[in-house]
Amino acid sequence: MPAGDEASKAELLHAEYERYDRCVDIVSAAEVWFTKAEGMRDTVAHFERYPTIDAGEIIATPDFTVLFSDGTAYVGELSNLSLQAASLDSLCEQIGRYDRLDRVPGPDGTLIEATTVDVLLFVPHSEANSAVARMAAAIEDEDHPYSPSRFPSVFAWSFEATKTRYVFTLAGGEQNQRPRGHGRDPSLESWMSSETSFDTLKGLPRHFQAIKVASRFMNDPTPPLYMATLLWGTVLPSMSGGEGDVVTSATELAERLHRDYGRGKVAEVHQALELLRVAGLATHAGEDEWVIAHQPINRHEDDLAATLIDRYKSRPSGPVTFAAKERARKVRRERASNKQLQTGLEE
Amino acid sequence: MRHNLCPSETITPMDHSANIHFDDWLWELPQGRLDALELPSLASAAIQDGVKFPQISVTTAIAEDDVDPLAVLADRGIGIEDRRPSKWGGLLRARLKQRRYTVVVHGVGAAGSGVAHLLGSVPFTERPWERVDRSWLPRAHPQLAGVILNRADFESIGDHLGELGEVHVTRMTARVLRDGSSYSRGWPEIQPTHREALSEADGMIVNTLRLSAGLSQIHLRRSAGATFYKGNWDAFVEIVLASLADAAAERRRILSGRDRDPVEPVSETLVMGLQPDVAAAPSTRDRILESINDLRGARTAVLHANPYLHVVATDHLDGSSFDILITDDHQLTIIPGVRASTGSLARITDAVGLALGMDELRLESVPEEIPASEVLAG
Repeated sequence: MPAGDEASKAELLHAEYERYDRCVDIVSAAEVWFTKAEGMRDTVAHFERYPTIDAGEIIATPDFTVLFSDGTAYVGELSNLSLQAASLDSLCEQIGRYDRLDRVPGPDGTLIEATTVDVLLFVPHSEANSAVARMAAAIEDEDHPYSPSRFPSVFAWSFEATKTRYVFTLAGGEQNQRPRGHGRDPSLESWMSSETSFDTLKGLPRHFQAIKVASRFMNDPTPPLYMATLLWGTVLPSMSGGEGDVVTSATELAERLHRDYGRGKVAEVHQALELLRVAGLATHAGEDEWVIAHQPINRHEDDLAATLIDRYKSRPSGPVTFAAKERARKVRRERASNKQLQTGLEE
Repeated sequence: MRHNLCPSETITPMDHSANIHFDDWLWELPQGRLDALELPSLASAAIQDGVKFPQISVTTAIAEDDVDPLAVLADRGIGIEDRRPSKWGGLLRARLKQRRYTVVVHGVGAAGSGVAHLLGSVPFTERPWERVDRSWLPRAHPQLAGVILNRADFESIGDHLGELGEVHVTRMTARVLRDGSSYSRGWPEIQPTHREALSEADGMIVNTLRLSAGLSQIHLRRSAGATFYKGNWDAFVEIVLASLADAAAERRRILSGRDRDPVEPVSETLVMGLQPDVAAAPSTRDRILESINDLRGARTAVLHANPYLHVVATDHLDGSSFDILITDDHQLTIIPGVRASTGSLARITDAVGLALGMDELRLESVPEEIPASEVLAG
C-alpha cells in the first residue's frame, strides 16, 4: 500500500473511532432521558439499546427504541448525512422502513405491538437544518420513494465544550415537529414545549457515564479501532491476567462482549483482530483461532488508539506471540552455542 | 487525653550509649522476644538493652487479601538478603553497597487486615529508604500498594498530636496545583499551628509537614509516611501510626471488592474530588495519562479527550481495568471494570491523586433518578 494511502487509512480509522464514541455518548444520553429522568422513566415500559426488529418484510436495526407504557413507541436513529444524494437516499430508505414499523422490543426481548411509532433522527448540528430541507424536498418529489406517514423529528446535536455537555435542539424547518407525547406527562413533547427548554435537551456526561461504561457500544457496526481498543483494554486483560498469549476465537470474544456489555458481533471482532494482526500483536492460527500477544505495548502519546494506529501504519515484522519469541530466542541461543562449539573445535 | 505521659517514656536518643546498632540488635533478637515485640514497646525494649533508639522512618501500605507483605517484599525487593518471619510480620535484612539495614514489616490489627507498616532506622531521605518507597513497593504492586494522605488526614493527625502539647509546624513543602511549581517554607521563630500552616496551602497539595508537639518531633509525608525524630514513641505509635493505619484501612475498604458485575448496572463509582481549576485545566488530561503510564505495566486509551475526559486504564500487572472520567462537575470518577483488584485500584488512584492533588476519595452511589430540570436546557 502506498504511504499516502496508509496515512489516509490511519486517519480514517481514527475518525471512525471518534465518531463512534460520540454516537455511544448520544445513545447513552437518550437512555438517561428515558430510564433515569424524573417522571419520564415512569412512562417507559422498555428502552432497547441494541434493537433488532424482524417484522416479516421489514428488518430494522435502529440505534434505539423506546416502548412507552401507553403502547406507543419511538425509534431513534443517528445519522451523519453527507452532501451526496446517495447519502440522503440511503437515510430515507432506512427511516422509511422505521416509519412502517408496528412493533418494538419489549422488556423480555420479544417484539411488542405499538399503536404508533415516531421516528427520532439525530444529526450533527451543522447538517441538521439541511437534512430537514432535503428530506422535505424528497417527500415533495413524486419520483422519490420516501413517503413517510409522518415527518421524522430531527434533532440537531452538538457538544458544548465550555459546558462539557451534549445539546440536542429540534432542528429548524416547518415540517419538523416535536415527537408526539400522546398526552403523557412528562413526554419529550411536554419537555420541549416547556418554558425552560426552548426545544432543547441536554446530555450530561456525569449522568450517562455509568450507562456508557456498562454498555460500551451502540447499535451501529463498531469500527475496528474502537473494537480493538476495547478488547485490548477491557476484555483481554482478564483473559491474559495482564500479559501473555491469549488463544481465543472471534466467537469467544464476541460472547464475552455480549456477556459484559450486551452486544458482541463476531464479524466486528474479526475485523478488530485483523487490525491487531497487521499491528503485529496477533496471529491468525486457524479458521477462527487467534493468538493475541497481550502486553503493555510501548506507548505513543499515552493513548492506546494512537499506539495501534502507529503500529498499523508501521506493520511490524518478526515473531508476534510470546511463544514464538521464546522459540526464536532458543534458536538464537542454540546457534550461538553451536558457533562457540565450532570455534572450539577449529582451535 | 489519650496518653499518660511518664518522663521515662520520653525518648531522647542521645542519652544512651550505643554499643550495638539498633538494626543489628533488632535482627539478632531471639525468636521469642521478636514474636512478643509490639510496636509501642519497641523503643523501651531497645533502651533496656542499652541500644540507642534512632529516628524511625515509616511507610504504610495496603495489601490484597491473602497476601503476606513480608513474603512479597522479600521475593521482589532488590537487595534483600534475608528475612525473619514473626507472629506480627517480620524483619527484612537488606544491603545497599556496604550498608546493611533492617526493615520491620508490621501487620496492623488482625492477621490479613491488609494494612502493614514498614519501619526502619534509615532516614527517609537516604537511598536505602528511597529504595523501600520507590523500588520495593512498586515491585510489589499490585499485591502491595502505597497510600496517600489527604489534607483532612494531615489535619486529623495534627489535631491528635495536640494531646502531647502545643503543635507547631517548623517546615512545610507543597506543590502548587496551578503550575506544578514547588513550595517550601520554614518557620525558624514564630511557628504556626498545623491548621494555620495548612491554611496557607490552599490551591496546593501538601507533601510534607515537620511538626513539634510537646517534646516530640515528627515528620509527616503525603505518601502515607512519617518519621519519628525524638520524643514520645508510644504516642507516635498510638497517634501517627494509628492514623496512617486508619487512612490505609479506609482506602482499602473503599477499593476492595469493586469488580463490576456485568449483569448489573453500575451502582457505585469511586469519586475523587478535585479543585475546580484543576478539573478544567488543559494540562489535566496529560497529567492523568502520564501519571498512569509512568506506573510499571499500566497503560491508557483515550475514548474522549478534554474537557469531558474518558480514559480506559489497563493494569497489565494483574489484568485489572478501569474507566476514568472527568465530567462537568469537577470530579474525577473511576468506574472499576469486570476485573479490578484492590492493589491495582490503589496504585492507580494514588498515582492520579498525587498528580492532580486529590482532595478526597469516596464511594458514591449512581443515582437511580435524576431531576428532569437537569435534562432540560436553561
